[in-house]
Amino acid sequence: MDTLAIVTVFSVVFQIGMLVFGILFSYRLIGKREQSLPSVFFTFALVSWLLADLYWLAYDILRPDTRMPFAANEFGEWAMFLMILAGLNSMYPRRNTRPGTDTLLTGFFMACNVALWIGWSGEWLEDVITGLVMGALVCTLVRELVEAKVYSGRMWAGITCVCGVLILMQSTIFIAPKQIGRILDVCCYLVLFSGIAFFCIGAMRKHSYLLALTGFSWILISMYMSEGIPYLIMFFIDSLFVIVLVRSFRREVMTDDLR
Amino acid sequence: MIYAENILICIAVPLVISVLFLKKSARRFVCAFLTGMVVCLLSAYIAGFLNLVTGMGENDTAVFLSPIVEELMKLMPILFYLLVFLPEDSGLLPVAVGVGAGFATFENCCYILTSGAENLGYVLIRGMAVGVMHIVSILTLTIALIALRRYRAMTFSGVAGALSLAVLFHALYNLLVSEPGISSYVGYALPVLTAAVLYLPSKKGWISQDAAEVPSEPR
Repeated sequence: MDTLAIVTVFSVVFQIGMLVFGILFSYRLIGKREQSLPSVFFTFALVSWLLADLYWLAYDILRPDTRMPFAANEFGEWAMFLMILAGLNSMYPRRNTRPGTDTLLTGFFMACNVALWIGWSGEWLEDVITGLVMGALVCTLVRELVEAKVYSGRMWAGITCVCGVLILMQSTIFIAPKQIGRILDVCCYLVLFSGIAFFCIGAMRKHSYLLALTGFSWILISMYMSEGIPYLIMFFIDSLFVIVLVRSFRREVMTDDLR
Repeated sequence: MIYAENILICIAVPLVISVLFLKKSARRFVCAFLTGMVVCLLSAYIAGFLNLVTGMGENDTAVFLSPIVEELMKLMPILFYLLVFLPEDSGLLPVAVGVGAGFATFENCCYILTSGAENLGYVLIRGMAVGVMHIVSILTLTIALIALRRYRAMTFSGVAGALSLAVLFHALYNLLVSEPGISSYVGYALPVLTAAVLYLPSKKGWISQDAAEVPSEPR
Protein backbone atom coordinates (compact mmCIF):
# COMPACT_ATOMS: atom_id res chain seq x y z
CA MET A 1 0.00 0.00 0.00
CA ASP A 2 1.34 3.45 -0.89
CA THR A 3 0.88 6.58 1.23
CA LEU A 4 -2.18 7.74 -0.70
CA ALA A 5 -3.89 4.37 -0.19
CA ILE A 6 -3.15 4.45 3.54
CA VAL A 7 -4.52 8.00 3.82
CA THR A 8 -7.61 6.85 1.88
CA VAL A 9 -8.13 3.97 4.32
CA PHE A 10 -7.96 6.39 7.28
CA SER A 11 -10.38 8.73 5.50
CA VAL A 12 -12.85 5.87 5.09
CA VAL A 13 -12.48 4.96 8.77
CA PHE A 14 -13.21 8.61 9.63
CA GLN A 15 -16.29 8.57 7.39
CA ILE A 16 -17.47 5.35 9.01
CA GLY A 17 -17.23 7.08 12.40
CA MET A 18 -19.28 10.02 11.12
CA LEU A 19 -21.86 7.66 9.66
CA VAL A 20 -22.22 5.72 12.90
CA PHE A 21 -22.89 9.01 14.65
CA GLY A 22 -25.42 9.94 11.94
CA ILE A 23 -27.19 6.57 12.15
CA LEU A 24 -27.50 6.76 15.93
CA PHE A 25 -28.88 10.28 15.64
CA SER A 26 -31.41 9.51 12.91
CA TYR A 27 -32.43 6.21 14.56
CA ARG A 28 -33.50 8.19 17.61
CA LEU A 29 -35.87 10.20 15.41
CA ILE A 30 -37.80 7.05 14.39
CA GLY A 31 -40.89 6.66 16.48
CA LYS A 32 -40.30 9.92 18.36
CA ARG A 33 -41.91 11.98 15.67
CA GLU A 34 -45.39 11.53 14.27
CA GLN A 35 -44.11 11.20 10.71
CA SER A 36 -41.45 8.54 11.12
CA LEU A 37 -41.35 7.26 7.52
CA PRO A 38 -38.78 9.81 6.27
CA SER A 39 -36.63 8.99 9.31
CA VAL A 40 -36.85 5.25 8.49
CA PHE A 41 -35.72 5.90 4.92
CA PHE A 42 -33.00 8.29 6.03
CA THR A 43 -31.64 5.77 8.55
CA PHE A 44 -31.71 3.01 5.92
CA ALA A 45 -29.85 5.33 3.51
CA LEU A 46 -27.12 5.98 6.08
CA VAL A 47 -26.87 2.25 6.88
CA SER A 48 -26.44 1.50 3.16
CA TRP A 49 -23.72 4.14 2.93
CA LEU A 50 -22.01 2.65 6.00
CA LEU A 51 -22.12 -0.88 4.54
CA ALA A 52 -20.71 0.42 1.24
CA ASP A 53 -17.82 2.00 3.13
CA LEU A 54 -17.24 -1.17 5.17
CA TYR A 55 -17.19 -3.25 1.98
CA TRP A 56 -14.73 -0.86 0.36
CA LEU A 57 -12.52 -0.89 3.46
CA ALA A 58 -12.60 -4.71 3.71
CA TYR A 59 -11.75 -5.05 0.02
CA ASP A 60 -8.89 -2.55 0.23
CA ILE A 61 -7.37 -4.36 3.21
CA LEU A 62 -7.95 -7.93 1.97
CA ARG A 63 -7.06 -7.42 -1.68
CA PRO A 64 -4.87 -4.30 -1.89
CA ASP A 65 -3.91 -2.95 -5.31
CA THR A 66 -6.37 -5.18 -7.17
CA ARG A 67 -9.28 -3.84 -9.16
CA MET A 68 -12.72 -5.12 -8.21
CA PRO A 69 -14.10 -7.39 -10.94
CA PHE A 70 -17.53 -6.15 -9.91
CA ALA A 71 -17.85 -3.24 -7.50
CA ALA A 72 -20.39 -4.61 -5.03
CA ASN A 73 -20.02 -1.53 -2.82
CA GLU A 74 -21.85 0.39 -5.53
CA PHE A 75 -24.95 -1.53 -4.45
CA GLY A 76 -24.67 0.38 -1.21
CA GLU A 77 -24.51 3.66 -3.07
CA TRP A 78 -27.52 2.69 -5.20
CA ALA A 79 -29.41 1.70 -2.05
CA MET A 80 -28.49 5.03 -0.46
CA PHE A 81 -29.70 7.07 -3.46
CA LEU A 82 -32.91 5.02 -3.70
CA MET A 83 -33.66 5.32 0.01
CA ILE A 84 -33.07 9.08 -0.03
CA LEU A 85 -35.31 9.29 -3.11
CA ALA A 86 -38.04 7.23 -1.41
CA GLY A 87 -37.72 9.50 1.65
CA LEU A 88 -37.97 12.63 -0.51
CA ASN A 89 -41.08 11.28 -2.23
CA SER A 90 -42.67 10.63 1.15
CA MET A 91 -41.76 14.12 2.43
CA TYR A 92 -42.84 15.97 -0.68
CA PRO A 93 -45.85 14.30 -2.33
CA ARG A 94 -45.54 13.83 -6.08
CA ARG A 95 -47.40 16.24 -8.30
CA ASN A 96 -49.00 15.03 -11.50
CA THR A 97 -47.12 17.43 -13.70
CA ARG A 98 -45.16 16.63 -16.82
CA PRO A 99 -41.35 16.88 -16.63
CA GLY A 100 -40.29 20.44 -17.33
CA THR A 101 -37.18 22.03 -18.76
CA ASP A 102 -35.44 21.71 -15.39
CA THR A 103 -35.89 17.91 -15.40
CA LEU A 104 -34.77 17.61 -19.02
CA LEU A 105 -31.65 19.71 -18.44
CA THR A 106 -30.80 17.81 -15.26
CA GLY A 107 -31.33 14.51 -17.09
CA PHE A 108 -29.01 15.71 -19.87
CA PHE A 109 -26.36 16.77 -17.33
CA MET A 110 -26.51 13.37 -15.64
CA ALA A 111 -26.38 11.56 -19.01
CA CYS A 112 -23.22 13.53 -19.87
CA ASN A 113 -21.78 12.55 -16.49
CA VAL A 114 -22.49 8.86 -17.19
CA ALA A 115 -20.78 9.19 -20.58
CA LEU A 116 -17.72 10.68 -18.85
CA TRP A 117 -17.66 7.95 -16.19
CA ILE A 118 -17.79 5.28 -18.89
CA GLY A 119 -15.00 7.09 -20.74
CA TRP A 120 -12.83 7.04 -17.62
CA SER A 121 -13.58 3.60 -16.19
CA GLY A 122 -15.05 1.57 -19.06
CA GLU A 123 -17.54 -0.03 -16.66
CA TRP A 124 -20.70 0.29 -18.72
CA LEU A 125 -23.24 -1.55 -16.59
CA GLU A 126 -22.34 -0.08 -13.22
CA ASP A 127 -21.95 3.46 -14.54
CA VAL A 128 -25.29 3.36 -16.35
CA ILE A 129 -27.13 2.02 -13.26
CA THR A 130 -25.40 4.55 -10.99
CA GLY A 131 -26.31 7.29 -13.47
CA LEU A 132 -29.95 6.19 -13.61
CA VAL A 133 -30.33 5.97 -9.84
CA MET A 134 -28.43 9.15 -9.06
CA GLY A 135 -30.12 10.90 -12.00
CA ALA A 136 -33.55 10.07 -10.57
CA LEU A 137 -32.52 11.55 -7.23
CA VAL A 138 -30.95 14.70 -8.71
CA CYS A 139 -33.94 15.27 -11.04
CA THR A 140 -36.36 14.98 -8.09
CA LEU A 141 -34.16 17.29 -6.06
CA VAL A 142 -33.99 19.96 -8.78
CA ARG A 143 -37.76 19.68 -9.22
CA GLU A 144 -38.32 20.30 -5.53
CA LEU A 145 -35.84 23.19 -5.51
CA VAL A 146 -37.69 24.79 -8.43
CA GLU A 147 -41.08 24.22 -6.74
CA ALA A 148 -39.79 25.69 -3.48
CA LYS A 149 -38.30 28.67 -5.39
CA VAL A 150 -35.02 28.34 -3.53
CA TYR A 151 -33.00 29.94 -6.32
CA SER A 152 -33.95 32.83 -8.59
CA GLY A 153 -34.17 32.47 -12.38
CA ARG A 154 -30.78 34.16 -12.78
CA MET A 155 -29.24 31.78 -10.28
CA TRP A 156 -30.59 28.78 -12.19
CA ALA A 157 -29.24 30.19 -15.45
CA GLY A 158 -25.83 30.58 -13.78
CA ILE A 159 -25.88 27.02 -12.39
CA THR A 160 -26.88 25.66 -15.83
CA CYS A 161 -24.03 27.55 -17.50
CA VAL A 162 -21.49 26.32 -14.94
CA CYS A 163 -22.63 22.71 -15.39
CA GLY A 164 -22.47 23.08 -19.18
CA VAL A 165 -18.96 24.57 -19.07
CA LEU A 166 -17.84 21.82 -16.68
CA ILE A 167 -19.05 19.05 -18.98
CA LEU A 168 -17.50 20.79 -21.97
CA MET A 169 -14.11 21.12 -20.26
CA GLN A 170 -14.14 17.52 -19.00
CA SER A 171 -14.99 16.27 -22.50
CA THR A 172 -12.28 18.39 -24.11
CA ILE A 173 -9.63 16.86 -21.84
CA PHE A 174 -10.13 13.54 -23.71
CA ILE A 175 -8.99 15.02 -27.03
CA ALA A 176 -6.87 18.02 -26.01
CA PRO A 177 -3.04 17.94 -26.01
CA LYS A 178 -1.48 17.08 -22.64
CA GLN A 179 -0.58 20.63 -21.54
CA ILE A 180 -3.97 22.10 -22.42
CA GLY A 181 -5.53 19.07 -20.74
CA ARG A 182 -3.69 19.90 -17.53
CA ILE A 183 -4.88 23.52 -17.60
CA LEU A 184 -8.45 22.37 -18.22
CA ASP A 185 -8.10 19.88 -15.38
CA VAL A 186 -7.12 22.65 -12.97
CA CYS A 187 -10.02 24.79 -14.23
CA CYS A 188 -12.42 21.86 -13.65
CA TYR A 189 -11.19 21.46 -10.08
CA LEU A 190 -11.66 25.19 -9.50
CA VAL A 191 -15.25 24.95 -10.74
CA LEU A 192 -15.93 21.81 -8.68
CA PHE A 193 -14.52 23.28 -5.45
CA SER A 194 -16.33 26.59 -6.04
CA GLY A 195 -19.56 24.60 -6.50
CA ILE A 196 -18.90 22.70 -3.27
CA ALA A 197 -18.32 25.98 -1.42
CA PHE A 198 -21.47 27.54 -2.93
CA PHE A 199 -23.82 24.65 -2.22
CA CYS A 200 -22.38 23.72 1.17
CA ILE A 201 -22.36 27.25 2.56
CA GLY A 202 -25.93 27.69 1.31
CA ALA A 203 -27.00 24.47 3.00
CA MET A 204 -25.28 25.36 6.29
CA ARG A 205 -26.74 28.88 6.38
CA LYS A 206 -30.35 27.95 5.64
CA HIS A 207 -30.44 24.55 7.41
CA SER A 208 -32.59 23.26 4.56
CA TYR A 209 -32.71 19.50 3.90
CA LEU A 210 -33.20 20.09 0.18
CA LEU A 211 -30.13 22.35 0.03
CA ALA A 212 -28.13 19.87 2.11
CA LEU A 213 -29.03 17.09 -0.34
CA THR A 214 -28.07 19.37 -3.24
CA GLY A 215 -24.70 20.03 -1.63
CA PHE A 216 -24.27 16.32 -0.98
CA SER A 217 -25.10 15.47 -4.61
CA TRP A 218 -22.66 18.08 -5.89
CA ILE A 219 -19.89 16.71 -3.67
CA LEU A 220 -20.55 13.20 -5.03
CA ILE A 221 -20.58 14.41 -8.65
CA SER A 222 -17.31 16.23 -7.95
CA MET A 223 -15.80 13.14 -6.34
CA TYR A 224 -16.71 11.01 -9.36
CA MET A 225 -14.86 13.58 -11.52
CA SER A 226 -11.72 13.64 -9.40
CA GLU A 227 -8.72 11.55 -8.43
CA GLY A 228 -5.72 11.72 -6.11
CA ILE A 229 -5.47 14.48 -3.51
CA PRO A 230 -8.47 16.55 -4.74
CA TYR A 231 -10.57 13.38 -4.39
CA LEU A 232 -9.35 12.89 -0.83
CA ILE A 233 -10.17 16.52 0.08
CA MET A 234 -13.67 16.07 -1.35
CA PHE A 235 -14.02 12.78 0.49
CA PHE A 236 -13.13 14.53 3.74
CA ILE A 237 -15.69 17.28 3.04
CA ASP A 238 -18.23 14.58 2.20
CA SER A 239 -17.57 12.88 5.55
CA LEU A 240 -18.01 16.14 7.46
CA PHE A 241 -21.14 16.89 5.45
CA VAL A 242 -22.88 13.96 7.18
CA ILE A 243 -23.33 16.34 10.15
CA VAL A 244 -24.99 18.97 7.93
CA LEU A 245 -27.22 16.31 6.36
CA VAL A 246 -28.34 14.90 9.70
CA ARG A 247 -28.90 18.33 11.29
CA SER A 248 -30.90 19.65 8.35
CA PHE A 249 -32.93 16.44 8.22
CA ARG A 250 -33.71 16.67 11.94
CA ARG A 251 -34.76 20.27 11.53
CA GLU A 252 -36.98 19.40 8.55
CA VAL A 253 -38.72 16.57 10.41
CA MET A 254 -39.18 18.60 13.61
CA THR A 255 -40.54 21.61 11.71
CA ASP A 256 -42.89 19.32 9.81
CA ASP A 257 -44.45 18.15 13.05
CA LEU A 258 -45.03 21.72 14.20
CA ARG A 259 -46.87 22.64 10.98
CA MET B 1 -19.37 -33.15 -8.74
CA ILE B 2 -22.65 -33.60 -6.89
CA TYR B 3 -26.15 -34.11 -8.26
CA ALA B 4 -27.92 -31.18 -6.60
CA GLU B 5 -31.32 -31.98 -8.14
CA ASN B 6 -31.24 -35.48 -6.62
CA ILE B 7 -30.32 -34.07 -3.21
CA LEU B 8 -33.20 -31.62 -3.48
CA ILE B 9 -35.66 -34.41 -4.29
CA CYS B 10 -34.31 -36.49 -1.41
CA ILE B 11 -34.81 -33.69 1.12
CA ALA B 12 -38.01 -32.31 -0.38
CA VAL B 13 -40.10 -35.51 -0.54
CA PRO B 14 -40.60 -35.94 3.23
CA LEU B 15 -41.32 -32.23 3.55
CA VAL B 16 -43.90 -32.34 0.75
CA ILE B 17 -45.63 -35.24 2.44
CA SER B 18 -45.54 -33.48 5.80
CA VAL B 19 -47.34 -30.51 4.22
CA LEU B 20 -50.40 -32.75 3.73
CA PHE B 21 -50.71 -33.21 7.50
CA LEU B 22 -50.00 -29.63 8.54
CA LYS B 23 -52.26 -26.62 8.82
CA LYS B 24 -52.06 -22.86 8.45
CA SER B 25 -48.81 -21.29 9.69
CA ALA B 26 -46.90 -24.59 9.95
CA ARG B 27 -47.89 -25.50 6.37
CA ARG B 28 -46.94 -22.01 5.20
CA PHE B 29 -43.52 -22.31 6.84
CA VAL B 30 -42.77 -25.72 5.30
CA CYS B 31 -43.89 -24.48 1.86
CA ALA B 32 -41.62 -21.46 2.27
CA PHE B 33 -38.78 -23.77 3.35
CA LEU B 34 -39.26 -25.87 0.21
CA THR B 35 -39.39 -22.73 -1.93
CA GLY B 36 -36.12 -21.60 -0.36
CA MET B 37 -34.44 -24.86 -1.37
CA VAL B 38 -35.72 -24.62 -4.95
CA VAL B 39 -34.60 -20.99 -5.13
CA CYS B 40 -31.14 -22.06 -3.93
CA LEU B 41 -30.89 -24.61 -6.74
CA LEU B 42 -32.01 -22.08 -9.35
CA SER B 43 -29.53 -19.54 -8.00
CA ALA B 44 -26.74 -22.08 -8.33
CA TYR B 45 -27.72 -22.66 -11.97
CA ILE B 46 -27.71 -18.93 -12.72
CA ALA B 47 -24.43 -18.32 -10.86
CA GLY B 48 -22.85 -21.24 -12.76
CA PHE B 49 -24.07 -19.79 -16.04
CA LEU B 50 -22.69 -16.33 -15.16
CA ASN B 51 -19.39 -17.90 -14.19
CA LEU B 52 -19.10 -19.42 -17.66
CA VAL B 53 -20.27 -16.30 -19.49
CA THR B 54 -18.12 -13.76 -17.61
CA GLY B 55 -15.10 -16.03 -17.11
CA MET B 56 -14.58 -14.56 -13.64
CA GLY B 57 -13.64 -17.85 -12.01
CA GLU B 58 -15.48 -19.74 -9.26
CA ASN B 59 -14.04 -17.76 -6.36
CA ASP B 60 -14.72 -14.32 -7.84
CA THR B 61 -18.20 -15.41 -8.95
CA ALA B 62 -18.97 -16.54 -5.40
CA VAL B 63 -17.66 -13.30 -3.91
CA PHE B 64 -18.99 -10.76 -6.40
CA LEU B 65 -21.88 -12.21 -8.43
CA SER B 66 -23.56 -14.80 -6.18
CA PRO B 67 -24.84 -12.23 -3.65
CA ILE B 68 -26.69 -10.39 -6.42
CA VAL B 69 -28.21 -13.56 -7.89
CA GLU B 70 -29.11 -15.12 -4.54
CA GLU B 71 -30.70 -12.04 -3.00
CA LEU B 72 -32.65 -11.30 -6.16
CA MET B 73 -33.89 -14.89 -6.28
CA LYS B 74 -34.84 -14.84 -2.58
CA LEU B 75 -36.75 -11.59 -3.09
CA MET B 76 -38.94 -13.10 -5.86
CA PRO B 77 -41.05 -15.51 -3.71
CA ILE B 78 -41.36 -12.95 -0.90
CA LEU B 79 -42.50 -10.24 -3.30
CA PHE B 80 -44.90 -12.67 -4.99
CA TYR B 81 -46.39 -13.69 -1.65
CA LEU B 82 -46.60 -10.08 -0.52
CA LEU B 83 -48.28 -8.76 -3.65
CA VAL B 84 -50.55 -11.70 -4.51
CA PHE B 85 -51.67 -13.05 -1.12
CA LEU B 86 -51.51 -9.69 0.74
CA PRO B 87 -50.52 -11.29 4.07
CA GLU B 88 -50.39 -9.43 7.37
CA ASP B 89 -46.97 -8.42 8.66
CA SER B 90 -47.07 -11.19 11.25
CA GLY B 91 -47.70 -13.73 8.45
CA LEU B 92 -44.95 -12.44 6.21
CA LEU B 93 -42.05 -12.86 8.61
CA PRO B 94 -42.36 -16.68 9.07
CA VAL B 95 -42.48 -17.07 5.28
CA ALA B 96 -39.36 -14.95 4.88
CA VAL B 97 -37.57 -16.91 7.60
CA GLY B 98 -38.70 -20.16 5.94
CA VAL B 99 -37.31 -19.13 2.55
CA GLY B 100 -34.02 -18.08 4.15
CA ALA B 101 -33.75 -21.24 6.24
CA GLY B 102 -34.57 -23.48 3.25
CA PHE B 103 -32.00 -21.70 1.13
CA ALA B 104 -29.31 -21.98 3.81
CA THR B 105 -30.10 -25.64 4.57
CA PHE B 106 -29.87 -26.73 0.94
CA GLU B 107 -26.68 -24.74 0.39
CA ASN B 108 -25.13 -26.31 3.50
CA CYS B 109 -26.18 -29.82 2.40
CA CYS B 110 -24.52 -29.39 -0.98
CA TYR B 111 -21.44 -27.83 0.61
CA ILE B 112 -21.03 -30.66 3.11
CA LEU B 113 -21.44 -33.29 0.40
CA THR B 114 -18.76 -31.55 -1.66
CA SER B 115 -16.22 -30.76 1.06
CA GLY B 116 -16.93 -33.40 3.69
CA ALA B 117 -18.16 -33.07 7.27
CA GLU B 118 -15.25 -34.54 9.25
CA ASN B 119 -14.43 -31.34 11.11
CA LEU B 120 -17.31 -30.70 13.51
CA GLY B 121 -15.98 -27.27 14.50
CA TYR B 122 -15.91 -26.03 10.92
CA VAL B 123 -19.34 -27.49 10.19
CA LEU B 124 -20.73 -25.69 13.23
CA ILE B 125 -19.15 -22.39 12.18
CA ARG B 126 -20.54 -22.80 8.68
CA GLY B 127 -23.99 -23.59 10.02
CA MET B 128 -23.94 -20.60 12.35
CA ALA B 129 -22.52 -18.22 9.76
CA VAL B 130 -24.10 -19.11 6.41
CA GLY B 131 -27.31 -20.33 7.98
CA VAL B 132 -27.79 -17.14 9.97
CA MET B 133 -26.55 -14.92 7.13
CA HIS B 134 -29.27 -16.05 4.71
CA ILE B 135 -31.94 -15.59 7.35
CA VAL B 136 -30.59 -12.17 8.37
CA SER B 137 -30.34 -10.87 4.81
CA ILE B 138 -33.89 -11.92 3.95
CA LEU B 139 -35.14 -10.57 7.28
CA THR B 140 -33.57 -7.19 6.52
CA LEU B 141 -35.26 -7.23 3.15
CA THR B 142 -38.61 -8.22 4.62
CA ILE B 143 -38.45 -5.63 7.40
CA ALA B 144 -37.81 -2.98 4.75
CA LEU B 145 -40.74 -4.30 2.68
CA ILE B 146 -43.00 -4.28 5.74
CA ALA B 147 -41.95 -0.71 6.53
CA LEU B 148 -42.64 0.32 2.95
CA ARG B 149 -46.06 -1.32 2.94
CA ARG B 150 -46.99 -0.12 6.40
CA TYR B 151 -46.50 3.50 5.39
CA ARG B 152 -48.05 2.92 1.94
CA ALA B 153 -44.75 3.76 0.27
CA MET B 154 -44.27 0.55 -1.73
CA THR B 155 -42.42 2.24 -4.59
CA PHE B 156 -39.85 0.84 -6.98
CA SER B 157 -37.14 2.96 -5.41
CA GLY B 158 -37.97 1.61 -1.96
CA VAL B 159 -37.97 -2.07 -3.00
CA ALA B 160 -34.81 -1.69 -5.09
CA GLY B 161 -33.13 0.12 -2.21
CA ALA B 162 -34.03 -2.66 0.21
CA LEU B 163 -32.76 -5.28 -2.24
CA SER B 164 -29.48 -3.40 -2.73
CA LEU B 165 -29.01 -3.27 1.02
CA ALA B 166 -29.51 -7.05 1.33
CA VAL B 167 -27.12 -7.68 -1.59
CA LEU B 168 -24.46 -5.51 -0.01
CA PHE B 169 -24.77 -7.25 3.36
CA HIS B 170 -24.41 -10.65 1.64
CA ALA B 171 -21.51 -9.41 -0.50
CA LEU B 172 -19.70 -8.06 2.58
CA TYR B 173 -20.05 -11.43 4.31
CA ASN B 174 -18.80 -13.32 1.22
CA LEU B 175 -15.82 -10.97 0.86
CA LEU B 176 -14.81 -11.27 4.50
CA VAL B 177 -14.96 -15.08 4.59
CA SER B 178 -13.23 -15.44 1.21
CA GLU B 179 -9.82 -14.75 2.80
CA PRO B 180 -8.46 -16.81 5.71
CA GLY B 181 -7.48 -15.12 8.98
CA ILE B 182 -9.08 -12.45 11.16
CA SER B 183 -11.33 -11.19 8.37
CA SER B 184 -13.04 -14.57 8.09
CA TYR B 185 -13.75 -14.58 11.84
CA VAL B 186 -15.23 -11.09 11.53
CA GLY B 187 -17.29 -12.41 8.59
CA TYR B 188 -18.55 -15.40 10.58
CA ALA B 189 -19.50 -13.14 13.50
CA LEU B 190 -21.25 -10.54 11.29
CA PRO B 191 -24.53 -12.47 10.70
CA VAL B 192 -24.88 -13.45 14.36
CA LEU B 193 -24.32 -9.87 15.51
CA THR B 194 -26.78 -8.53 12.94
CA ALA B 195 -29.30 -11.18 13.98
CA ALA B 196 -28.95 -9.93 17.56
CA VAL B 197 -29.54 -6.35 16.41
CA LEU B 198 -32.61 -7.41 14.39
CA TYR B 199 -33.93 -9.45 17.31
CA LEU B 200 -34.37 -6.33 19.45
CA PRO B 201 -36.97 -4.57 17.25
CA SER B 202 -38.80 -7.86 16.68
CA LYS B 203 -38.92 -8.42 20.45
CA LYS B 204 -40.27 -4.93 20.99
CA GLY B 205 -42.99 -5.72 18.44
CA TRP B 206 -41.97 -3.01 15.95
CA ILE B 207 -41.75 -5.52 13.10
CA SER B 208 -44.76 -7.73 13.62
CA GLN B 209 -47.13 -4.83 14.29
CA ASP B 210 -49.87 -5.07 11.67
CA ALA B 211 -50.61 -2.32 9.20
CA ALA B 212 -54.00 -1.67 10.73
CA GLU B 213 -52.40 -0.76 14.04
CA VAL B 214 -50.27 2.03 12.63
CA PRO B 215 -51.47 5.24 14.21
CA SER B 216 -50.35 7.79 11.67
CA GLU B 217 -50.78 8.25 7.95
CA PRO B 218 -48.05 9.51 5.68
CA ARG B 219 -48.43 13.02 4.35
